[in-house]
Amino acid sequence: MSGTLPAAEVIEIRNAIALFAHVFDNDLVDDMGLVFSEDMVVESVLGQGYSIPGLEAGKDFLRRRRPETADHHTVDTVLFWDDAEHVSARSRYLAVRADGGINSGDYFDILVKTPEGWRIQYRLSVPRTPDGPRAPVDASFLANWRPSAARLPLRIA
Amino acid sequence: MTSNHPGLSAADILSIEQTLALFPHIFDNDNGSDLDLLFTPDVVIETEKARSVEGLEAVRAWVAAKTAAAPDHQTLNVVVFVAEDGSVRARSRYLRITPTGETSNGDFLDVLVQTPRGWRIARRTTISRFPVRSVREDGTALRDEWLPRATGVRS
Repeated sequence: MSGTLPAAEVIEIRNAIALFAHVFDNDLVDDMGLVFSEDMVVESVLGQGYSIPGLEAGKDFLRRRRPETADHHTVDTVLFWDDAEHVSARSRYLAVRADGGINSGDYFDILVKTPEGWRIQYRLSVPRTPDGPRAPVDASFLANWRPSAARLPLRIA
Repeated sequence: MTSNHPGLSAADILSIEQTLALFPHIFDNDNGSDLDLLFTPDVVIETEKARSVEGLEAVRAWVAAKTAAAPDHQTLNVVVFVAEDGSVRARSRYLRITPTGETSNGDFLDVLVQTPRGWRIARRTTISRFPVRSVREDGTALRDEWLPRATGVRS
């Protein structure tokens, strides 16, 4: 099933996703609410995995960010319609490390339409390259983000 | 002011960008059965090694033959324009990363068509940039055909 969103909303959603790098990588703790909803959950399977529940926990996480933390670049975003107030988004990230090397992976996002605009409500970060330790991922959970005949990318009007 | 995308709406351009974004998610994840969301049935893909893959089934065979050492692809800097012949083209930069972290880059030169099911890539030419390898003799000239110009519409 696929729904339709107007171009202006798609651009707003893309902006929210793109803002992450500019807010997080520049330690803009007070602007985290431009990217994430109050009830956000951010999870990663890097290493043993972790979960950050809620915007305030996200801000605390950012306050503890080390200067050598990799910069983020978000590309190849594909959107899927869930309902009138939610879309799922799948993107590839590139993380340039302080030593100049590069890591990559997938972002599996759910965005919610709030009175203030579209915000990321859920994000799962799954590394791809280089190989390294990571917690297992439930493949059936990720099926929601697989583009297919049964899960078409949303139409843009 | 001259537009370089006459006849294309903002929705068309966003949809084309989304189609191009599907490539890494489908191709890199070996989801050959979903390639029809990305390519036309008669798609032609040409690489710098003068390799030509014609038709969706041939692309599926290509995906099925990939090894674990195959690089991931990321698509950036997408520019969409309408050529003088009326074809809708996209020029983008790709960034490839191998499982061990080596990177290379190049250009995707695409021709897209609007089908009842959405925008699809009908022709893709891949030209590598760095690291420098032996490239197609006509690589530079081909890239030039896709260069944006101040005059707007490109031929």
